Amino acid sequence: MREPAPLTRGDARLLAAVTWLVPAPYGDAIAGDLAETWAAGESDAHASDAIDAVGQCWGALGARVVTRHRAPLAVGAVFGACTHLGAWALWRAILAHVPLRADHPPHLAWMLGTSIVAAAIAALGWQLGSAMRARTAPPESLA
Amino acid sequence: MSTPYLGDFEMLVALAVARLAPDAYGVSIQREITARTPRSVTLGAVYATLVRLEDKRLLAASDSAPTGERGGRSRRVYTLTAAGKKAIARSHDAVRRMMDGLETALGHA
Repeated sequence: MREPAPLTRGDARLLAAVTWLVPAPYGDAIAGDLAETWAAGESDAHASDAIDAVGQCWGALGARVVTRHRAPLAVGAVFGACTHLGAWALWRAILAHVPLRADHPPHLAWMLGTSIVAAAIAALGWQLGSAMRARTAPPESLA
Repeated sequence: MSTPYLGDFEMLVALAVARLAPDAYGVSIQREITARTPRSVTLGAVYATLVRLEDKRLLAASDSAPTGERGGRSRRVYTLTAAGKKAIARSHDAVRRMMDGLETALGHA
């Protein structure tokens, strides 16, 4: 393990973004853990670590909502929108504030892939919701 | 509710918590698994599993005081509950029973 190094201003801003983007009450603890590994020099891929932590936690939250609340119609749209918004906000924070290492570029393919999947999940959620509403609606002659 | 079985990664995380008590938190758990197994583990995966185990009431969590090393943020420290210890024993026992008699076939003689 290398000697701990002080966090840069860019690090602090990225950590603030993580704190805000990870579902409560874990954002603060995860941002603290990332700060600890960065200060110890254990990870050079700062932006990748942060994006991964945010993505994993939102994924876990989405799975928990589906299994616990059994809300498959609405959850696709809400989860898709949240993931997309979170990834977009983090991406903006990284571009604006974090000095990226040349050998660790941010995962652009990951970001694009996430956005496409999120949009597909949202679209599927809406389609399923519309189909269910159409099936359960009374015939026009009875309405 | 009957004691649940643990998945492969859940088992590694729960055992790391048992080893590190009372100082088991995200980074220390990640380091312990990486040091003892050939697996590469991300912090996000560790936290997703910790949340799941806490939901199942196999782990209990508490927040420590914030420290400067962590940019003024606190640690979320985990301990095994009685149900967590039972789940580890039950899952290990299931694997052990399935392995019985397969030592030669699997090349672990």
